[in-house]
Amino acid sequence: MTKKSILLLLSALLFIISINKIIAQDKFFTKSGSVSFFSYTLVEDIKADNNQVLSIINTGNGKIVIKMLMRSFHFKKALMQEHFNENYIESYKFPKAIFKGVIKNFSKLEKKDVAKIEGILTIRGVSKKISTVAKITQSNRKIILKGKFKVRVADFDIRIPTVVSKNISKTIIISFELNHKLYK
Amino acid sequence: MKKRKYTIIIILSILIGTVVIIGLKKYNKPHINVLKAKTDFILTSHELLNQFTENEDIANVKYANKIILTKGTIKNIQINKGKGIITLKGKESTIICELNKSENDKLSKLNKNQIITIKGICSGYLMDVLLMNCIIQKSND
Repeated sequence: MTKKSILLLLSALLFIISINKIIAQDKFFTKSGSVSFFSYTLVEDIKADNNQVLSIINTGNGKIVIKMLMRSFHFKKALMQEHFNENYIESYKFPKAIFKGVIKNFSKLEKKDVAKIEGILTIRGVSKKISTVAKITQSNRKIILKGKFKVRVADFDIRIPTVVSKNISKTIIISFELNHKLYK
Repeated sequence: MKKRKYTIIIILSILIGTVVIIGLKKYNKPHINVLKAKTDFILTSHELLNQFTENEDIANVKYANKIILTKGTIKNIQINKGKGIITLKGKESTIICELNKSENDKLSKLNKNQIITIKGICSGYLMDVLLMNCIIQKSND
């Protein structure tokens, strides 16, 4: 082999590696992610589902941005949905909940793994640091994140009238299932 | 004397009864029936999208939680968590309509690129305008 052909081979190899790097920085996203929250008390159980959650993962750095509209949460009882939007969350003033964070050590995660996620959750204009773990399942075209964590109602300045304070739990469980697809 | 006591008890129980019934009715009031509800705004999918992409805050105040009747072209039809999702075409953003479960059997008759009129409640804008509790008002072949 001549020096020239080795050089050619090397540069070809480098080229392939660099292309791989570009591919590795793809974006995965969903517009139909699911986020639910639960409040369990002795008086009543409250559950609400949102299946129009937007989530984007940048596989280059493991950054994740999740956005949802508060009005997209469906409750079983219309009155609860009304109170949630009009009185507690004030959706007309704060229409969105936003999470901006990072999936830790993203490049080192296995196909099926447990990922640590850290970031800032903003609800009603109040930002709070969240640290949680999620089950991650990934392939070339899909990244699924599934998990749950707890938040305190008081942390987001949500005022619950004393009349119904026994009906609504002080801590709310938030669960998520985000089925991202490769963005083409 | 005894008679008076009884009438007071009866009146009181009727009063308490009505309060409880009104309370329960309010507590159990049904979700808005989009089919029967009065339409707040009638506009094409492009008009609705333009207003949200131009100024999201103004459009939010105007359209969020309002009943919208919009006509557009189907970009995509999917099912998510047992509910039909119809996406209406736009330039960059689209309108994503989450249908009522009552509309599920109509989905199979719809096709991409078909023009459709959808009535639903606007929940706002993320990367797209989102409508929920939608019903199919009219579909033209």
